[in-house]
Amino acid sequence: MLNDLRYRVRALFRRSAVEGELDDELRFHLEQQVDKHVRAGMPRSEAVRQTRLAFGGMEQVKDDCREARGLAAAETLLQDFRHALRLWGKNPGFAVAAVTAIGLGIGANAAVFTIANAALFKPLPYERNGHIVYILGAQPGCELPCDSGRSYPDFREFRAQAKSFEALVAYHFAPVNLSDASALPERYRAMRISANGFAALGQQPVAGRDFIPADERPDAAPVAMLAYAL
Amino acid sequence: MGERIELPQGTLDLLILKTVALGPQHGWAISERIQQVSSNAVQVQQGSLYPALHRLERRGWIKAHWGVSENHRKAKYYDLTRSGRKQLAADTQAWRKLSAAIGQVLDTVQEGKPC
Repeated sequence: MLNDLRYRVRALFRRSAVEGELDDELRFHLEQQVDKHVRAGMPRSEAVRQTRLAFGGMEQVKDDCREARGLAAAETLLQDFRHALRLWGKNPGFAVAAVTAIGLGIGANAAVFTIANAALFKPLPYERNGHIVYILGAQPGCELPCDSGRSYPDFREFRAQAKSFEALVAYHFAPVNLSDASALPERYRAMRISANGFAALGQQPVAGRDFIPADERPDAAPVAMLAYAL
Repeated sequence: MGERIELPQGTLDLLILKTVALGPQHGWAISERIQQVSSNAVQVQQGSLYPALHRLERRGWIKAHWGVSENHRKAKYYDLTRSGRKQLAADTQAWRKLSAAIGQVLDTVQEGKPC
């Protein structure tokens, strides 16, 4: 294993030395073969011709040796890079178009993945998020998921009777208009939520206090919690 | 020159290991030696010999050093390493097993009746 690595590293970085050695080695072989033919009585020129013929494509043999040395992949990659750069230089318009097309393609993919990742793959940022479920009611004549919601009295009944859940939370989207003395009113997304909503998810307000069960009483003073973005 | 045999895949490595086990050799001498010892039945093509030598060297089964040949030229000599010797023993055993098994099968087929 170590030997293999050392061998490959030398082949890659001491490339000219290794290539020179390969040339020497193959030339020595050719000379030996020519000498052998000459000793057998063949004219020298014929011996050279015969030997070259028998040897086959010199470059092919060298390529196979390079491959056997295990650096063919690295070398081919380098060659491809050089080839690509030369072509770019020759045809810059095409190069710009290709780079733009690939760039846009990668960009669009990255954008879509970012959204899909947040929406579909990333777990909710709560402890024991695998235990959080969304409860839907069934409605006659309408297939799931289809639910116009539960009434608050229904929710109170559920909460009193359901034993399978640690906590039941109800919420309801109710946009609000906010205004102050200096600017026009603005509409914001808001939500009504049962007092135990944040506690059930293990969340604490950064400032102030969390909702308490007393806040749910009809005569309780209205309380609100602001999101950080506001 | 007698009838030549095509070497099955992988057997060239074995022949090379065996040849250099007899002492350090350069590539040309290895091919000559294999040809002679096999009574010209096996002729090693240079196109496969040198890639095989480089592959074996990379695996650490043979190691190369530069020396001077009988006719006073610079030549690359290959020698068997310790792990090469182990490999040679293992490959030889595997080859003997395989050829014996194949021989056995072929003989059986000849003796048996065709279906």
